[in-house]
Amino acid sequence: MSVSNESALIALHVNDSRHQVPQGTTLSELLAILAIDSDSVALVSNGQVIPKSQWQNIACEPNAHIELFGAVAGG
Amino acid sequence: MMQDKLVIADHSFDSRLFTGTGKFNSAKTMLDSIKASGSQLVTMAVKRIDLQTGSDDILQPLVDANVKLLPNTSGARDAKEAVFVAQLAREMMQTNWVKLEIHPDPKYLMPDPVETLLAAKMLCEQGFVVLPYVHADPVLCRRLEEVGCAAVMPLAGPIGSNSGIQTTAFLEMIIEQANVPVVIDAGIGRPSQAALAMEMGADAVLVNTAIASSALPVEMARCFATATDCGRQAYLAGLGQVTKQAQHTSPLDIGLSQSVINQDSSLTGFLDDPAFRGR
Repeated sequence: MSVSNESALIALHVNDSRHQVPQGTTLSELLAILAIDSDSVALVSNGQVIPKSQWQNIACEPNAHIELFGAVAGG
Repeated sequence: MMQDKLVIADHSFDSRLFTGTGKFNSAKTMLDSIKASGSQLVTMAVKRIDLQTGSDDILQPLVDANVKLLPNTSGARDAKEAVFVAQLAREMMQTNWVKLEIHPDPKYLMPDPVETLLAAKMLCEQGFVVLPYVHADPVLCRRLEEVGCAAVMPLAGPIGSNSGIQTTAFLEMIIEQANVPVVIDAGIGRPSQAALAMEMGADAVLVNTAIASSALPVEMARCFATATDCGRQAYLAGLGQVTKQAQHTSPLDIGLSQSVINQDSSLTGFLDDPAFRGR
C-alpha cells in the first residue's frame, strides 16, 4: 500500500503499542500489515468486539485502541 | 458394546473423556495425547496476542483433528469480563459453546458462584451453549440448569491439583438431581478416579493436568480413555449394593462333621499336638 504523504497517516494503539497506518486502512488490512493470521483472532476496537464479517468494511479510527486476542492452550 | 452417546445441547459424543490443552511440553505432545485419549471435546483459553512473539496456531491442528472446541473464560474475574471473553472466543473459534469459569482467587482457583450464575444467565440469553465450572454445589447446579445451561461442570478438587475426588457426597447429589449432563471437572489425578467418577453416574469427566503432567502423556491419555469407558460401562451394568455386614458368597455349611474330619488322623493329627500349637 502506498502512502502519499505524512498527513495521510493515522495513529493507533494496538495491544499497547503505537502504530501508524494510512488513513482508510480497514481492520483486515491492519492485520495484514501486522502479519497476523486473521483466521484465529478476535478483534476489539475501542472496547467493542468487532465481528470478523465486518473487518473488511470498517476503517481504523484515528487513535483507536485496538486489542487482538488469540487462542492459547488451557484447561 | 451398547449404543451410549452423550448428548450436550445439539451435539453428540462417543467419548465421555473431555480433555484440556494446557501444560503440555509441546503442541505435538498435546495433539498426540488428545488423539490417544479419543476425546472429542477439548478446552482452549483466550489471551491477548503478544505482537512481538506472535501467537502459536494451535487451533488449526485441533480443527484438523476433528475435535470440538470448548473455549473457556479463564482469567475473567467477574460476570462482565466472562461475557466479554465468551464473545471474543465466539469470534475467534467460531463456536457458541463456552466453558464458563470465573475464579478471581489465584491461590485456590475456587469458582465464584454469584458471578458464575449471573454470567450464565446473560450468556444463555445471548444464545451461548454454556457449560459452567462450579464448586460441587447441588443448589447452584440446579440454579444454573434453570437459567439454561447445557451441562454443569462441578469440581472434584482444586484445578490442577491431581488431588482426586474430594466432593463425593455433593457430586452424588448433583448427579441424582440433574436434568442436564454432569461433567466432573478439575482435580481428577488418576485413571482410577476417572473410573470412579463415571461409576458414580457422571456423564463425562474433564482431565488436563493428570495427562499433561505425566512422564508419558500419550500413554496416560490412553489409560484415562480406558478408565473412563470402563467406569461408564460399570455404571450401566449396575454396581452391586454396598452393605456394612459381610454377605457370604460361598455356602457357610458344606456338611462337614467330626466323623469326616477324623477319618485320616495321619493328615491332621498334628493339629491336636500341644507342641504344634505352642502349648
